[in-house]
Amino acid sequence: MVDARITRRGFMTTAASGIAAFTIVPRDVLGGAGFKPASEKLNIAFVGIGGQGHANLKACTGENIVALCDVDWKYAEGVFKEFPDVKKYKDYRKMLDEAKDIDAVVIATPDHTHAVIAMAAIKMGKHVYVQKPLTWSVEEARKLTLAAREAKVATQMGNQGHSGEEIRVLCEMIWSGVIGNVREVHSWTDRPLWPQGIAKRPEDVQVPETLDWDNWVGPAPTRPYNPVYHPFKWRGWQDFGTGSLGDMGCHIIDHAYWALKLTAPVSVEAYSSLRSVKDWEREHNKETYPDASIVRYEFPERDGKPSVKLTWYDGGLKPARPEGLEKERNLGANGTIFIGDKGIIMDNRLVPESKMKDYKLPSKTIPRITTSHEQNWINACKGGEAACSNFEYSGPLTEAVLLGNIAIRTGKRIEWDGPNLKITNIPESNELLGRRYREGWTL
Amino acid sequence: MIKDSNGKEKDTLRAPLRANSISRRELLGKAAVAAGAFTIVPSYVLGANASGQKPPSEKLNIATIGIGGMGHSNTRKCADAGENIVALCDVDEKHAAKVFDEYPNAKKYSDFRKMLEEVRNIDAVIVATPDHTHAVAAMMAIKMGKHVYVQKPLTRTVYEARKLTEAARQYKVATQMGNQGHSGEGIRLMCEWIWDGAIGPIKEAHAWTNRPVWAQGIDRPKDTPPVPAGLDWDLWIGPAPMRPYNPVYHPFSWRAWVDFGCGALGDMACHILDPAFWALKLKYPISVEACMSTRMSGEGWGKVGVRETYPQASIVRYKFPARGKMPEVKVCWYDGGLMPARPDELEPGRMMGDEDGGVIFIGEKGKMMCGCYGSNPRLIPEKKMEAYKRPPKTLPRIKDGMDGHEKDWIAACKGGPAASSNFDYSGPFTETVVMGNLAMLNPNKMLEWDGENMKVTNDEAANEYVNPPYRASWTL
Repeated sequence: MVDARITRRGFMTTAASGIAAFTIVPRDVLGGAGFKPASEKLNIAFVGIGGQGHANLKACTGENIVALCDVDWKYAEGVFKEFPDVKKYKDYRKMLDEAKDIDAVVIATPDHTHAVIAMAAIKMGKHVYVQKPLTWSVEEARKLTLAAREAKVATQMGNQGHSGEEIRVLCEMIWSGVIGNVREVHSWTDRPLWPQGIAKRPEDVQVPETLDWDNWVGPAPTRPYNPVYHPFKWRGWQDFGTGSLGDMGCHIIDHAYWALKLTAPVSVEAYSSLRSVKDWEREHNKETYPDASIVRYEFPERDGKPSVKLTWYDGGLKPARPEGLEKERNLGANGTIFIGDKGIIMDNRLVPESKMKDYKLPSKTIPRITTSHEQNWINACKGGEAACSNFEYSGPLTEAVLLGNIAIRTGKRIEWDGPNLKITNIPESNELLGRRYREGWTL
Repeated sequence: MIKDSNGKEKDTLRAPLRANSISRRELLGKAAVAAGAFTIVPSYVLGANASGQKPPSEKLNIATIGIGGMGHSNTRKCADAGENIVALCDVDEKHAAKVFDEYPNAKKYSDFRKMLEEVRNIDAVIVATPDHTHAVAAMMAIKMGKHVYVQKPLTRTVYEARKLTEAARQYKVATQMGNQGHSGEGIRLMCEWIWDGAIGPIKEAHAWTNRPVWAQGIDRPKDTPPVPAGLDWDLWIGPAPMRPYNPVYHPFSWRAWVDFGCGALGDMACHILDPAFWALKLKYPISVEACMSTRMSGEGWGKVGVRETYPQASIVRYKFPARGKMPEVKVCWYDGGLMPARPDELEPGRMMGDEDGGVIFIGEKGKMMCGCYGSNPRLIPEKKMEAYKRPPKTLPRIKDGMDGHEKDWIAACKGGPAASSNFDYSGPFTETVVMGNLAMLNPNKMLEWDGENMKVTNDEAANEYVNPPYRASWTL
């Protein structure tokens, strides 16, 4: 349905008749911010500043901070105080309407509002930095990626490891052929560090006066406020977060995705810890993600490289120890094992450690990023090279990661047609690729 | 396994008990000098109606301890086989009421110790209590010279399984663990095909269950409701540390709790891993490593249920050494909804194993799959099964298969061949199953296991669960 090489006119037609209707107006048409020269400061606005957004904010203080937006003024209070002169908002739509001088927007809200905010900014021709995972749904990731391409804005997903040295060394090692062809990868995280596997929504609680709950819920189906959702613990709830996989997959699977030059998976299946309802009755979690999951992806052959089976473990589950791992060593809290025809890499080192001793790292052919991940994006906003985790890369990565959640939610093996954004074997599961937004919200 | 004169492997487990030429008198002498922590006094010395081995023409006098669950069907099968049910024991009068009523002539007890002391004509005892009281009940019966049928897992701890196996051997009583699949056709076919080299040497097997079907990964309840009328809570607790009554323990969900049960692994591995244990001729693993689901508390940020219950879901990875011509093998266990990777050989849409679980054997020349109890053994894909020329059925079959598991034991009690899952087999098997729980209680590290000495050699703390102490006044 969606082709990367599609013309703008053709694209608009397809979009209008297809997935959903959204309009993209490139920045140059709007006469928007454009790419400022490096000598000028960017005017940056922040949406969602109570959590990771605060760290992003601190990394951007070399630029002009022109607006701060958060639906919870109590949660954001400390950050507001750090920037007493900056205009404050509760509603990002009002902020984007009023603060006309915004060049770029950093979005670090809960997952379920990433897409609507980023899309509004992109449509206004503003550059965007969006926390990982890029979006809540697969469909949103695709649309955001296409929109950013159309609008020619600078983009970055907040998987800051992508700017790091480690992932580059890993790519260079694997590309050098030191472990041969890789057919099997195992990645894991110790997340969730918040409650999951919860059966029922809690009872209503009075919304604190400082919180704009309606805007917090945004495009998701509305429900009464409860502190189990905000702050922080929304990650476990299917309507708002993307679970352990969404939280950490964009960091951890990033390694395999780049090093093995992965594309869309051809199939994904998942097995999860099931919740006990009563004796002899168990169920897949419908409200939250499960406590623990194993997700098995299969990626197709690419450029003469064999197909790859990538297995994801979370919630305390881990892969088997790789062959040759010293017996006193254990697997860490998060990590990846690459099993090649000629060797094994775990946590960016050859296994066993004795192999690493005499190993000379390949020459550093991938350009290094010497700035912060945020600055890497700021440079792109000023006409520099595309940021390292721009949406052309991080959009498809997010799609692949989030497909795992569909497998977790259905408990079924899904076969995926990436180019056409379609689950081919279980038609009804295509509903989980996106969702109908609450009235008044569109992408 | 030993080999006969033709070099064919012979199943020693089927050798008749009588083949053992030690007399009861000699046995008594040996027992007296044995350095064991328990004293064995044969039943005839005690003046009990020494069971010995009744001829097949005579009826056995059977008593059952724990009749509310599996004990009910075990008892009924023995009654249907024509044996006398002389006494029934359950700590929960209400829960057991219907079964008590079924056997109006059987004497009723709540304390198995009293029953065994008072009812002098008991020949054989069925033990189907929660896991934590298997060993004490079975050991007392064995020490009195009575034959025993014990539900799976044989015991809650490695040490108990060892001691029970040793005692049963010394006492020459007929034994059977309640893993009825061991009497079935499926497990025998798995053995015969694997020994025939159907899939070549096996270095990897994956087994799984849909259990637990009760809540695990939970904390101890804070409420202390009154003990229901008719339940002797002190006796229910038996040798375990005392704690207040709560319905989360009894009648059903005790399996979840480390102090009482053995989790999903203990419940189902004695069925599901059985074909792997027999066909691959396994005994003790050399290492085990587990990882498991963690539950985060809704209130604080702590983890829930740690070391109180077994987890919602776990993976246990055993490694067994080479055995004869069989290479080192890794056996991986999944529970709580987790399953191994789907083999590429399995046709699309075809179910892995069955509702309860299954095993996938990965050989150098192919793969085999079965369900729980070794049921429905197949080479996969199905076209390989169709092409396979099956070897002759060399293993003796048990009459009525799985359904004849109790009768197989009854025949052993009357001097027939040892029952299919007698403790010489099921004891070491249980040790291996429940030692997986040591790893679950000490997750994310490889525990090296000295099976003969029942010891984790690289982590002293993990040995805490090999033989945790009994409550005062209880001994094995």
